[in-house]
Amino acid sequence: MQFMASKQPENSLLGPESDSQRTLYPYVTGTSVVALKYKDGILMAADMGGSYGSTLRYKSVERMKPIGKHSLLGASGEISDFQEILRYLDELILYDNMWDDGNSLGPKEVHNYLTRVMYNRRNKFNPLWNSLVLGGVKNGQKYLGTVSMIGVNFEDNHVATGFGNHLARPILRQEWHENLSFEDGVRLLEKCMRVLLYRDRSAVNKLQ
Amino acid sequence: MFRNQYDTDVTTWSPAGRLFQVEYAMEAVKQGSAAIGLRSKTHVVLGCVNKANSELSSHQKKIFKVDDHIGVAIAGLTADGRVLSRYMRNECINYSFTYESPLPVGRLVVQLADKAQVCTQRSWKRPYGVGLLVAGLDESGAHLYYNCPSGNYFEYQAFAIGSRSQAAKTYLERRFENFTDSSRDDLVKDAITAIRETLQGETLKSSICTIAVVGVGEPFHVLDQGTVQQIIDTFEIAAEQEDPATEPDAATGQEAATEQGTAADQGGSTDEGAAPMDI
Repeated sequence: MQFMASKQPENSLLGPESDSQRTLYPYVTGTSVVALKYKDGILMAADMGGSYGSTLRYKSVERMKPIGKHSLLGASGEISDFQEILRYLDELILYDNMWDDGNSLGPKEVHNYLTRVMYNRRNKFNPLWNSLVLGGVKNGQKYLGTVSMIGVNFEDNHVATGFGNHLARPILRQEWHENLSFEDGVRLLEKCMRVLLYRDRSAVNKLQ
Repeated sequence: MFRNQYDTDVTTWSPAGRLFQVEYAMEAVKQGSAAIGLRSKTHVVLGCVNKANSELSSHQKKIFKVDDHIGVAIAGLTADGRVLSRYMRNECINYSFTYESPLPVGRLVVQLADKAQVCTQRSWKRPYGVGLLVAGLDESGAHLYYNCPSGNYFEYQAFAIGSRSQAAKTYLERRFENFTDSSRDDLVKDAITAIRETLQGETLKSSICTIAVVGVGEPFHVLDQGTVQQIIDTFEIAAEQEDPATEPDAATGQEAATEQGTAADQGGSTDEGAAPMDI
């Protein structure tokens, strides 16, 4: 196992010709994502900051994207790896649509696919440096799950990544209940994000 | 179908625009013993006639479980069928592992059809000589598909393939409009009746037919011989009163055979059909 400490350029992954193909450190990172299930579906919030180390460098990074017809993906961690994941999922959804039959990939399927991808990358010692939150609704069924950089995955009624786990989840554990209305859910998320803004150094005050 | 100069290779077209090798492969399907399938909105039933080489040997296995929600009945070259079932099982389990969701039947059928098409367009391959009745459950309901050696696939409400399947098809054509709303048990009875049609006079015993069911809340499984024999017994008695007009000869033949059949089967599963080999 060789560890080459050469500098990787931002927002791109080196090609196979170079020796250091392994992601060693994240460079441009996003901070926490918080999500919860409410009465009619899923609510997810993330700020729009991309930090370059300790500098809050980018202030309009979209860290949440819709996937297919049914799901929403939010990511914290290395932004370029998130964009790579989006490319994988784009291809996945494209092939799914090309079947042109009545079936479509729901949030559960996408979540499991991502778990496989993350786990396989970590097995090759080349992880995608992200913690992902995947939520969606299909046929009235709500689904909310998370996958970490090393492939740990689980589903729950409310999830968060990074600092959100320490700061936001206690609030959610206290105040979450089934059948939250949309307004209550938004208010709860806003409360979480405000706490994160106060206490997380890498949070910015612009939310998605 | 007669031999001609265009039928040596699967890659040779005839002037009439036919691929004879593919058509011969479909003939192989017609020579296999019968298999039938029918579906309602929530269940699909597959049935097949068991052929044994001799009285000493066991039956050919013609119904395969592919996944909890998909099963397949084959007619034709059973070796080809076995290989294709293994492929289908692989595909299902790989999809399940990656997506933790059952593979939609429609997609499996298309993959199977594409695989069959490849064999019709390579000079070093031959078409699969087996027709597959794929029964499965999906988000969009219960489905029954038929895959030909030619690479075509069709969705059916009810279908029969193999030798003497025309009799079964006629029966199914008469009754298919009722199938969508049939109960599961009615569907099984209809399947057994359809199989009886293909036997054309032979005694219907549970040892010569195999029935499998898949439905909502019911994973794919083959019904055991005891259950099948019970169902046969219940309606053989009713059948004499039910259809005396349509099958006068068969009914009288059945009467004598039923008594003999029930007497023989009362002991258990041993009978003159084939050597009992842990069926």
